[in-house]
Amino acid sequence: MSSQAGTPAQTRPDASAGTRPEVLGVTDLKQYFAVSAPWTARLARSAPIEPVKAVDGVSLSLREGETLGLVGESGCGKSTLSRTILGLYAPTAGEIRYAGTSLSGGPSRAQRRHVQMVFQDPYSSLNPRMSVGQMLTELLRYHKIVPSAETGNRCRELMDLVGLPQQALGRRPRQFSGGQRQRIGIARALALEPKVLIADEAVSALDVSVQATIINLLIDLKTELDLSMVFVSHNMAVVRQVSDRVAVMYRGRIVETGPTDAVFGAPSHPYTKLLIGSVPRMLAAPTQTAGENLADPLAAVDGEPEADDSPYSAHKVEHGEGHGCRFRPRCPVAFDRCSTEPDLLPLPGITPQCAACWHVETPDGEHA
Amino acid sequence: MTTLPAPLPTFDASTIRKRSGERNITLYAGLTLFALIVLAAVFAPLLTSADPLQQNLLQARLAPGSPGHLLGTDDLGRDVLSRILYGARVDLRVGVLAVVTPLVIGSILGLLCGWWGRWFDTIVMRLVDIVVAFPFYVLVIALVFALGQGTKSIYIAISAVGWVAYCRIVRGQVLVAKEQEYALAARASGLPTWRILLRHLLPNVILQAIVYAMSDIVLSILAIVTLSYLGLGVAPPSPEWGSMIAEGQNSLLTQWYLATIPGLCVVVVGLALALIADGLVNQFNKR
Amino acid sequence: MTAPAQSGPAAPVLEAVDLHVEIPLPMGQLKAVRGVSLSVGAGEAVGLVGESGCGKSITLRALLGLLPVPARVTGGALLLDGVDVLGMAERRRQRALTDAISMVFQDSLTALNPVMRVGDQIAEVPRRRLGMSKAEAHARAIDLMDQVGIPEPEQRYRAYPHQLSGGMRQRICIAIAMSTEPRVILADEPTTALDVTIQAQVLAVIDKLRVERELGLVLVSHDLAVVSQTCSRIYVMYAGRVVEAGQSLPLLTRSEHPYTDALLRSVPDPDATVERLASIPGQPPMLVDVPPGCAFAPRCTFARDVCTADPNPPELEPVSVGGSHTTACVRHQDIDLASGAVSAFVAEKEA
Repeated sequence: MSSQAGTPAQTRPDASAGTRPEVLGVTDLKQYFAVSAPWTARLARSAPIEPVKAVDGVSLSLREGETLGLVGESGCGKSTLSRTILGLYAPTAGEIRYAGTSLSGGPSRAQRRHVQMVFQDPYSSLNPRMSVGQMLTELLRYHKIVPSAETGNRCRELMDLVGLPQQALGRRPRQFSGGQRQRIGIARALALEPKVLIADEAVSALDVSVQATIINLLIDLKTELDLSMVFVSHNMAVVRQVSDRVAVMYRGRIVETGPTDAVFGAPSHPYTKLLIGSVPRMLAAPTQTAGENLADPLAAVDGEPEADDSPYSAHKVEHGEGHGCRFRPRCPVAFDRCSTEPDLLPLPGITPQCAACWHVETPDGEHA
Repeated sequence: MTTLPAPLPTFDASTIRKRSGERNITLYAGLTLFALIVLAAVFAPLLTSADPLQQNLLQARLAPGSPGHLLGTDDLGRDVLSRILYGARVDLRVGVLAVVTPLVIGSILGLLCGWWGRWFDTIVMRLVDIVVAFPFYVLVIALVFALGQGTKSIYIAISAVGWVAYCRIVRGQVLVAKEQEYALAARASGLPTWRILLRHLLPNVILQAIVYAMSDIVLSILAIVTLSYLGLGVAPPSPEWGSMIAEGQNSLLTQWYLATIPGLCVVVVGLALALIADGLVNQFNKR
Repeated sequence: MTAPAQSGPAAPVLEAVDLHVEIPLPMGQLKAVRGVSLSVGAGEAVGLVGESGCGKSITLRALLGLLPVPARVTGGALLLDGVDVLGMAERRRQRALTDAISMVFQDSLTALNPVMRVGDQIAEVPRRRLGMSKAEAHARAIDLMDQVGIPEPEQRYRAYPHQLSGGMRQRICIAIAMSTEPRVILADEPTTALDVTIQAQVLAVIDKLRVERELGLVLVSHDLAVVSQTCSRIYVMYAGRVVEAGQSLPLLTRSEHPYTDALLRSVPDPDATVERLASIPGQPPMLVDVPPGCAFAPRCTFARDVCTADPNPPELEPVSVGGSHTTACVRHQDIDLASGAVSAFVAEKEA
């Protein structure tokens, strides 16, 4: 794996996309969800309940033609982040920019077209009561993307684009397999001719052989239509294949970001190391690379964040601002500086890699 | 990699049912039965020459099967068959109308409650709580009493109470459906709210309300029966199944059929509607 | 480097011979499992691999006699210590199977009773079926929780499932499975719902128990890497049949069936970027009208007329004389899969 890591520019011609303008950006984005209190309690004005900080200060920038992989485990906030960027939730704080224009409030009808999403679940992401043709026609008509007379042709073009037969237009979602449904989902997103495609776990529910076809399709479409893509996934191996750059999320914050091969080849944040090391490798011993604290899996608590309302949650007292790095309870190399939360710090060297870890500034000691 | 248990394609019941070409017998049977009942009510004058209001004390209390009176006559010598047929006009009209109105009102409110939430939901749901807190008949009887006897009052009373059920059903379904990815996709593609509500959410949430409405029609017919029994229903002497049951009950031991025949009519209507409801569920799930 | 290799396991504890499972449907019999033979010995870990709909989960449930309602075993034998249990009366068969076999499911949240304390759920079987006193069962539950690596078991005994993390919940499920003192554990995608950083730990717990207690383990997974780490033998299933079986290392490095090979190629590698991921065109057949001959032939790049000439599906045959590596590909001697990328990348890793 080191061979690729050393030569990112050769394996990644798109990495030069760094010179192209930004199509999508967020600055210090926060998305908190109020834990709903009974209305009687709200009337009584009892003490406010601490909100769930799903996204807690994220800054990102996506350039034209670039694919950004957003990885993290369940509950890290990656889906919330992508849905907030899409405009499905109004952000608690922070700025979202589409092609340099700041979004204030919800996106306008024209702005909606700019960013579109391919959803995760092939079984619930399509309206079961509408045929594929109705679904696409509705979008084309409402956004007046093509003249009315051209709608049928455009629908057929979209089917060709995602590799489905034109007869598919007359059918309802139930009549398709999982992989075909994801193709329909992609066609729906492309109908609006977006600049940015967000793929939210778009291949996670598929079998590996089908997963590969959908990934290949997304990569082809990206090149063909000059799209930019945010590829959200918990699957490190898939993200590695697709992305030019990755951002690793942990409990609402980005803990590491950089060119894909740099991050995979030389991860800097202890969490990234754990995450990459934990991916099961063919014919390798299961705990071989699973991180220092996991050498004896039974000796240590697994450190998986438990539900915040659980009396057994290690994070209950430690979570949030003023309580230091959020990975500290699981971190094998935590030291005294970790009691304050680090921002993303640039790594020394020419690759634009950053990690939210104090060890970046003090590379000596046990973390070297 | 898979976090969702992907349904096995080979077990997809819909494909299987589709391929086997199974007809929706339940739905067709229900529709046919209901159509026959409606036709009988509409073409009552063709099916019987007897006047449902014509009294003939000389021919009172004839048993079913008597010449000229297929189902016999009642205490006042009125032909039971013609009273049943003409009564069906009243009962079906009130039953269906007293369900359609609350279905529409309740579904719209439920849709908005589930979608908007916030203060609107809070207010409507408290209103629902208040209506539900009273027993159904207490509220209906009180309303009919206040509005005065007659079919119009019955519509209004049953609608004013009945919408809460639909509101709750639809609201619950919307709360689930609006978080489904297809609803998110519709929002993300910038479609206007009314379109998402009517085109994307409503078709997916209305089925349960319609199925409930089928059984609710029977309930509202029974409500008319009850109201008639209490003397608050359709004004006598116009024929109506409820008042027929109420009158027939006085002579249940001697002329059992006077109460039983209209009762059976209610059962048959209920059966037809239940078949339609079952059939609709099958039909919708098939697609 | 791989899981401890078992040297010629003794007589298998659990063995399925030519097992058939059918599900009656209006359109005909759905042949979910079409003649599967597999065995697991004491202390042995075997993997059952395949994509959704291949029949691996149904096979597993048939082994425990827990088939979903319309499905039933229509042929073959199920041997427990060499005795066919399918011939037994139903109650005796269920008793024999559930005494010897336990199961761990994919979704720990639905596998546990949400309104019962997790400790009580572990203590239930020792108390009700093994006839222990309340105090004994409690102590046994604490002991089991300790063995599956749950810290502070006394405290967590009183927890409800939703209060524990996914990894902890799956450990509870494993403890429940162990509470009957089984000889075989059937695990259906036990780590699929878990985060990747937790997956290895849960697998390690299962593996530790297997070694310590001489348990037979049948691990069902769609993830070849997970199976390759845990199991010494692998069965690859396609369209209700085992298409290739053998020791993990030869099977994964020198696969002799085009399906196994294609499956391996389509798995993305976390340690390298490829120009283009390989995929398998087409879809698995509907198991109501199974095509004649090899079920993979319509999707196979190596398929020739000979693959579908015989209407019966091809049987497993040894790759080399007397070897344990078997394949159901009739053309395995004519085609060369070993030159594939998989062997190359494994060889690179071994180096």
